[in-house]
Amino acid sequence: MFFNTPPLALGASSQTLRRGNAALCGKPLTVRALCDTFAGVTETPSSPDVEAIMADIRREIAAAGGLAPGEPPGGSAAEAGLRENLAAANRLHAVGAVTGGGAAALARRATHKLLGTLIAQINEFNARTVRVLNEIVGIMEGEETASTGQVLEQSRRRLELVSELSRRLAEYDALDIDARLRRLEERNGVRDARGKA
Amino acid sequence: MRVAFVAPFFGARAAGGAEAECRKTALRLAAAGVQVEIFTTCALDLHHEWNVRFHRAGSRVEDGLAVRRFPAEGRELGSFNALNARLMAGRRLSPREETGFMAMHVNSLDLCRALADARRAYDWICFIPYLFGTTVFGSRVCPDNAILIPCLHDEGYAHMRIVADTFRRARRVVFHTRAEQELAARLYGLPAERSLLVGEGIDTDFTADGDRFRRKYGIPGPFLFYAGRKDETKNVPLLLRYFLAFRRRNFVDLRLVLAGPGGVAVPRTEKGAIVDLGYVPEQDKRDAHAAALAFCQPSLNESFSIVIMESWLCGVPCLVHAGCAVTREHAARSGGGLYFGSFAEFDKCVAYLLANPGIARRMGAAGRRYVRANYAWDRIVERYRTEVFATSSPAADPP
Repeated sequence: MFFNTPPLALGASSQTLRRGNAALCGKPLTVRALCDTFAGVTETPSSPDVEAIMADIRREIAAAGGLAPGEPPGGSAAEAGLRENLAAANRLHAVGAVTGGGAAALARRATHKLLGTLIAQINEFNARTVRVLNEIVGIMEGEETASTGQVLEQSRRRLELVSELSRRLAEYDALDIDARLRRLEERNGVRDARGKA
Repeated sequence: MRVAFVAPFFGARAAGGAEAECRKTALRLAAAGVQVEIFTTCALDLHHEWNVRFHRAGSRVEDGLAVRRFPAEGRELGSFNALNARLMAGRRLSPREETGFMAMHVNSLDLCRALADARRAYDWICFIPYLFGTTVFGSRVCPDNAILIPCLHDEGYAHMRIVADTFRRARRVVFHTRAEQELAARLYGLPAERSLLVGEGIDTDFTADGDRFRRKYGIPGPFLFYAGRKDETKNVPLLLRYFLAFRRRNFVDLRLVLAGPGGVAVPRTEKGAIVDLGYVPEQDKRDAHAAALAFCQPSLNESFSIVIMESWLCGVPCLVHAGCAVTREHAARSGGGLYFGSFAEFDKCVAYLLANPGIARRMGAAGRRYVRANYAWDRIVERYRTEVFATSSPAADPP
């Protein structure tokens, strides 16, 4: 019921961008400008229905391929199991170093020395596997990873360019037709500095 | 009406939510005409070794309250830490181990003896919070007039048999929220007639100035605010991960401002986006609340969360973790904030608050109404007088 705003699928900045054309014509497209635009909205004393807002948010996430609408917000049991296993993998991936003294430690040190290369290989394999698992879970949760970071950076630059274009268009739209013609002619060298054609 | 409060630590310098609640509640009840005395140890707080006598043993008046202090027992750190680690990992201890753990967890035999001697002098004796020897063993020596104020949340310690036994023995148990009350009913089968939903008192008379905060700390633009301990137990690393991911995905000029003890590892490239103020004066914290887009409480282990109430009193909405039943209940019942259980929900909730400032302000206002209606001190004192201390306990000597 409170989600009468455009879908959030592309995140707040793209939403800001869309609104920029309609509501923020000529203003810089920043969060502050967005907030200022809404500053005069009349407020009613009723409390917002948080459950309804959350239901809308979950529906939207589900529509984008995230959590199912009926799924509890804490995550399913399968998700909890996944996280538990991942935490254990993070904790246990390295074959521990030998500490302490005594005969047992001496024996373990000797074993380590004999199997040193093998243990190093196992540790390397375990570390890489766990790193990949963390990255996969991160992607599942929608977090940025090393590889997705580059794509997001490119998207950010693109959005900045579109944002700048949108600002210039808004400026241009605000000028009356005569002024637009004059500017066009000036740019093309049709009109001289004194305004004569 | 004569009431005693028993707490492991007491005093203005005792850090901790339960300690602050005990002191403020005792002071307010005393101001309302209830005769209040405090039984506590000589220890400073949870973070300083407990058998070091920071305070002198004996009776004296502190802040207008009669305070009786007793030396705390020492502990064998190796075995205590081993048992503690097992509990924190959610593993069960044997009954003998549980007793041993509790005997080392801020316990005082002298305090228990004094309680046993004086128990009939009080109408009620309130033990706060649940997880200390002073409560577990102290409540056993005065079962007829023991009131437990547990500050309970779902953690390994709450599943100990000795804790369940303490809940079942208490004459009355005072809860801060419905979620906490339901957790106790689920864990210990507590009957409704011994279970009272009272809440926790909040200071509602203060001012906050968001512009003053921005001027003093030079922080422009919208920001999420977190105040409290910055460590794993409060789930702060998750907040940092989610916040940074949100910024990179949404390209908005949003900051995260942190205040409180502890350190966080902030990537060098993100220093401008995450501002860690460390300890700040109380007024600055309130001003930061007022300047924030929202207060974010990612903790899963809250039994009340005063800091959310402070945020609402400043008219600012909150964003809490859905996995914490208590803070989620506050947000849903008040209409004062949103909750997230995954990064996707965090992402959408923050975007929603940014894009809907009118509704965000209404959430803050709804939260403020909720705090004033339920947790203003006059309401809490009234509930203690009329519900918690409603009738004399059978233990008290007639006047």
